[in-house]
Amino acid sequence: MRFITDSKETQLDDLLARICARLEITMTQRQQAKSSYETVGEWLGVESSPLAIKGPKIYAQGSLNLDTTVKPLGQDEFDLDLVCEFTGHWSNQDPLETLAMIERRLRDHGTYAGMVEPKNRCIRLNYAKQFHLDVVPAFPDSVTAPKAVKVPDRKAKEWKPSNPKGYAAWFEDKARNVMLRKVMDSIEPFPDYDLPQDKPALKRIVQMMKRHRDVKFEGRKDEAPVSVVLTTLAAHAYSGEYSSNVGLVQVLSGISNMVPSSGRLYVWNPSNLTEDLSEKWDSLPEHYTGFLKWLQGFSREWSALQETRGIQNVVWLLGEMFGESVTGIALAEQQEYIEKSRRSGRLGVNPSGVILAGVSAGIISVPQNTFYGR
Amino acid sequence: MRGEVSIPLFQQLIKVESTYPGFTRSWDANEVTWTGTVTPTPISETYTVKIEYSLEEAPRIWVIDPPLQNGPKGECPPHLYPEGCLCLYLPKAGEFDRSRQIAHTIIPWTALWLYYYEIWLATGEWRGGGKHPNGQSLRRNSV
Repeated sequence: MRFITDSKETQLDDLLARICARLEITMTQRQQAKSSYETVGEWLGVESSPLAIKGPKIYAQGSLNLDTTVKPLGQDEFDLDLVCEFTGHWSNQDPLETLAMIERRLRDHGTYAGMVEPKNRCIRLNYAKQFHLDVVPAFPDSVTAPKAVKVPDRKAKEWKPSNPKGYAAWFEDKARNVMLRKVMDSIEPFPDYDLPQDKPALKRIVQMMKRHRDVKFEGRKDEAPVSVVLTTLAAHAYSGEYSSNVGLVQVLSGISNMVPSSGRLYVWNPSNLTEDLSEKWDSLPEHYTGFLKWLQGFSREWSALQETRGIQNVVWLLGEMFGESVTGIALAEQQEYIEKSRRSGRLGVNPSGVILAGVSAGIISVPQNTFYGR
Repeated sequence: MRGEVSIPLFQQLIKVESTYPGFTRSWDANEVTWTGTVTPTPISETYTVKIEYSLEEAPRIWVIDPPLQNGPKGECPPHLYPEGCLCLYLPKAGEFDRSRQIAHTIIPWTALWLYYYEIWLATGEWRGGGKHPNGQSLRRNSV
């Protein structure tokens, strides 16, 4: 029977999974968000709405859709990205007028009126202490790709291409590649484990990268590499590792290998190869330098983690990278899982090394005791 | 004692040795000393421990290397006897006596103690439970 202390990998992966679980949107919040945006969709699309003839449909994109959400630092709310896809031809619509239409319709609603905040490409609805719903209006653009769309850009006053469904399909394919699926099928789950055991390592890796970025760029968020750039680079560099820890070693090294010795790294949208997701590095080359520095620092810390021994030292390093509070909680949860195993008689020691282990043949059970002394 | 048969020293020797391949021992007529390594979890340190046991006294368990550290405020780890050896069970509560196998009690409890010790270093809290006496020392109590 497998146990979380079977190896350094399983124990570290358990801590990392707990850190990610603490940072991501919960099932309840996810359902609340869905219920909220479906209600927004109804308001926009109901018969009496001026937008009804355009048949809007709202669906999740970005980290909510990919399951790589990470709560922003110092904020109670998740930033959730949604597409509001209309029917009709984009070339017949004015992008700024489309945004204005949606804003007007939302402001016509007693509740939404106070929550509306227009942004460059979307209308934000602020659900205080829960989430920000960033609604991007879109029209289909099946000439470019089967599920591609056009979205408005206020600053540029034009329609820009986008393909969230195409991107998601590409990412999911990277997350569950053939090799990984074979491995996952052959590994038996931990018995009585308190976390879901089928989340692909790539998704956790993306969460860890986003969180590490948030921590290191605290107070200078605008200088930080954007999430879609990190997500895309991670998916390119990932090679099907089962372990999040080992996968991140591979991803950090893989991304470092992509950095050219002259010029800069370009991150093209895999679902629209003419779109440069990293275009801000053209106008702000110091942000590119900042990205490289961050990557180097993260790689060094992650290498150091592999050699670190002593729970107190591992926890300290994870705290530096991801935040002390979530790390402390992860440690407490791992400890609780080990203690739960002990209480149900499933904890023993492995005689070679005397390591706490799951009870099975050759494992010595740990009998009841009470620590004493000063 | 509970009226059970005391395990002779040589049997304790055989049991520890056959169970824990990493442990070596030395003994004279009355007392055996085991030395071995304990790594409570794969990401933990590996500790060299020494266990001294004679049938006349309670076993004494020492952490040799790396030496036990003080906490962030300079405080000693809890659940140690004044001499510095580990306090793994409540004396006279029947958790350990001469009729029990060291291999199945003292050594597993040492791993557990070291696990909680590392968590104590990380958090400042001893989370393994336990009780504190009012200033008695281990000094040659019989079990």
